[in-house]
Amino acid sequence: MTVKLQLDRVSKKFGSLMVADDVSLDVDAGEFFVLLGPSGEGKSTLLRMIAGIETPDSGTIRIDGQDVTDLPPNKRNIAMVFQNYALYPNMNVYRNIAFPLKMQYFPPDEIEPKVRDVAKTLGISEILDRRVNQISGGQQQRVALARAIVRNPTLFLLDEPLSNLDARVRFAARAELKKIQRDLGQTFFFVTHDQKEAEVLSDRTGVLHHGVFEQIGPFDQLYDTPATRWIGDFVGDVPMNYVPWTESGTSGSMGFRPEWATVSPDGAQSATVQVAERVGDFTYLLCTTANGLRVYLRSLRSMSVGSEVRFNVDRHVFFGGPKDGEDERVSSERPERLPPRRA
Amino acid sequence: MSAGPPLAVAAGEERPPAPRRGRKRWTLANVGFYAVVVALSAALLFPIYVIFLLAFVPDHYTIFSFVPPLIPPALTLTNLETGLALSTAPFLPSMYFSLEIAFLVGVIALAIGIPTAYGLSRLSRGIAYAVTTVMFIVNMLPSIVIAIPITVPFIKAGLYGSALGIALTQELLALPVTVFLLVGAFQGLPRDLENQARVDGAGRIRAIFGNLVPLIVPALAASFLLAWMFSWDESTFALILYSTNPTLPVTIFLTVTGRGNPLVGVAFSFVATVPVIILTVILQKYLKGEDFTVGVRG
Amino acid sequence: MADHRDEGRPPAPVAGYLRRHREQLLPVLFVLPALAYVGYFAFYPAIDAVVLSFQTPILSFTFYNYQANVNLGLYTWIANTFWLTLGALALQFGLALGIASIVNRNFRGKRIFATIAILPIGISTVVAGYAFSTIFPGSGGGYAASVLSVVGYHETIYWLQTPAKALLAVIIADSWKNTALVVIILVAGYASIPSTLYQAAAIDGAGPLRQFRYVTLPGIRGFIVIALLIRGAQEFNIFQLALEMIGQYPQLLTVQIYVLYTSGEGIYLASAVASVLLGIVSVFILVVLLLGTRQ
Ligand SMILES: Nc1ncnc2c1ncn2[C@@H]1O[C@H](COP(=O)(O)OP(=O)(O)O)[C@@H](O)[C@H]1O
Ligand SMILES: [Mg+2]
Repeated sequence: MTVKLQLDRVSKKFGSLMVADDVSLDVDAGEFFVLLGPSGEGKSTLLRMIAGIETPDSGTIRIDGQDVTDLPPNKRNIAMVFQNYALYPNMNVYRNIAFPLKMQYFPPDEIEPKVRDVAKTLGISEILDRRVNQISGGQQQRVALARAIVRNPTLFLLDEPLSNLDARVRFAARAELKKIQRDLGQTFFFVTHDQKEAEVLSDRTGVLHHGVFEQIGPFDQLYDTPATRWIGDFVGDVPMNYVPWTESGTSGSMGFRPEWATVSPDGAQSATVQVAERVGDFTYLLCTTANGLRVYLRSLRSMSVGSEVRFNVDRHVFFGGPKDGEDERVSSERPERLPPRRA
Repeated sequence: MSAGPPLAVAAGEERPPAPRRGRKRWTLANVGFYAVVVALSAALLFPIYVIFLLAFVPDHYTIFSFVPPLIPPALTLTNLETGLALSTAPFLPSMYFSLEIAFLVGVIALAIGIPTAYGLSRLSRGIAYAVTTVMFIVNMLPSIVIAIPITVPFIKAGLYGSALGIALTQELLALPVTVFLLVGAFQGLPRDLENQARVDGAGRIRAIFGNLVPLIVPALAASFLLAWMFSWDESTFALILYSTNPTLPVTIFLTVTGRGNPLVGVAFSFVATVPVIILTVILQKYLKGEDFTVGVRG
Repeated sequence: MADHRDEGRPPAPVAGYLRRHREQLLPVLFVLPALAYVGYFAFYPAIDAVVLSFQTPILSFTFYNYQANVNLGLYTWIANTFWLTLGALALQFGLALGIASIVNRNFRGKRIFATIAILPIGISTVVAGYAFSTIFPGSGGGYAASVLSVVGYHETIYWLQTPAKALLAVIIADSWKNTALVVIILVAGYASIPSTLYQAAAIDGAGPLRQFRYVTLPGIRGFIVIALLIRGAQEFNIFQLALEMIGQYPQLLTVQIYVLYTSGEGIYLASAVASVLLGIVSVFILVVLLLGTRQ
């Protein structure tokens, strides 16, 4: 695998706010990399530094091995899709898609077939003459994508391109995006705060927090073996459960997800049901243990509020140290079979 | 852009009506309200009516009448015809000179105003605030105080009495408002449009002038016309800095305060003013109060 | 990739600063021409006026220009300018608050009224000045008398007889021409107040007057400050209209600057008066800014 994009000790501060703190990362050619994190963690800023719109305070950015840190955006041969699509309002759809080619001084007779081709791929041939404010959000997203694809860039940067879509359209667009990336075989660097997108789209996901990558890896890895408590809480529909635990002489806590525990009358642990919610086949239970800890559990049987629930933890990850101290995970225990994840 | 509420007229329409107004009925309060509106309108229109009388009524019914009649007993075109008589009246050359200057003021306003406004819309708040404050202060400096010391360098530079020289001084009035207006226009554009154009392969200058500037054409037109109007009306710099050829306002001033029949000047200027009045009505929706306030609100 | 790592070190401070602010470079360059322009065409002449005010053709430093102007009646000119400004501001803001709250209402004919209110902006100052000098002629009579006789008042008023009457004439003329600008700014202020605030105030039991006092006024405070700055400075600087309508009776600072300047070697004397005007305008700007931005 050749390295397409390399961030080498990149740092960036806004005033006293550290948005990238000595960040290093290699993204392979053809990889779908998702940068995940809550909003305000500096994801867009990192993407903008790769695009050349922001300048890192220090560090080096390389694309295809070439140092592009001091190159302006137009010299980097990258395509970018912004969250609001940034379609040129004074141009129709056709001219929007043709714009990057025009900037590269393609002759008009070469531009036309390229535009029509990509429009056909994305199913927007019918709207090429429309003004961009006369088309739907889903169509706008396709136009933005078409404009990115048409120039055949070396790297695609996408900043939350699905977040402005309605839930229904977003679902279809997400699947389509993955297919497009596979067909193109190009490198995608995709920013989102939506972990579902990371789960569905990514080959690898990096989670940015306090200016550093807390963890980089396939999404399943983030879910099953979170590197830190913070990741455990951030990834997943509900925060991870923690109970005090001692493992190989180290005291710390055991983290487990609802589906990693089995509710049964002869369980070793016990808790009291505070809230019970039926979702699909399962009843989700928010419980408190005798020593006041909150625990999310999942049960096939419905339970009533106030009743006692007993459960066994089938698998867990171990985090050493007190809850709010250094929360590095020191070991994990993996069962042979992964329990089905989420309803 | 015409993004904001068009000023005076539409501001009220953009919001739901204030709560205390019910259905319109001819209550006493309503009649009183309309009486006030009509009285104010009459007062505001009265001077324009007077100008009309001065321009188109024989002078023995206007300036040579001690208490002139409000309803004109007769109308005449004599005043206007005298004003247009090429051989005797200086009005047409003055008007041409004024047009030339006003055009220059508009062009310079855009030439300096576009880059400045773009720069201010992209600089940090503190710096942008400082620069807009400076522009604001420039707008408040007395023209007469500036006009006098500037004559000496103007004479040396050959600008004294020239259209360019007068335009460059009148620009002091037009530029700040142009900058305020255009900063608002640039700030109204999505920030990522420029970034998108740059990523798509345009250099920064090209992104600004090729992608952003076309989007603020309405604001550019408004600023140009506003600058044009400022110049058309300006007479302090024009009075101090003209040498042989005065501008239209100065010619009118010299006519009405000096020799000859002042009504000639009034008649001519009234006709010359009609396009400006129409322009004002058209420009109304671009005259946004917000634009005058960026200077202090930052 | 370890062999690349060294290049990632933070660069030297100056280079690092330039690099960090690379994106700011073009905006800075773009603003410079305007600053150079106003520096040369506005601030340099203004400073020059102050320098000239301490010189005569033969002396390099002197207070003579100021003393001579004091003897000529400088204090009276200041007082006249001050009263004119005060009166014009009071009239314009009173009118503008009224017009703005009318324009802010929805009623039939609103568009027409708004257009009428803005028309005076389109009338050339010189022409307006002449029109008003036929409305308020110093010789008595005029169109003011025509209107007054309609309502049954037939006494003759000589408008240039006393400084107060002459200043009042200029105040009315100037307010007619310039109230529209204040209206424009105040309307923007009204539009910036969310209507929910009025609803809340009404629910809390505030009538129209107290709504104005506790919702409208605080809401448009910033806009009033701006309008006050712009108009206040322009009132102190009023020149063309006054020169045309009342000439030197009574004298205003601006008119005196012009009169002194056009009388032979008077550029030094004129500069002293100009410096005084400059000082007054500066103090005015500072005071309004300090009062307006308090709280
Ligand atoms: N140009 C800027 N100047 C100052 N602060 C900024 C700037 N851009 C972003 N920030 C701040 O940096 C942080 C990260 O922003 P951003 O990269 O947009 O985060 P994300 O995309 O993860 O939501 C935010 O707190 C934001 O307010
Ligand atoms: Mg973001």
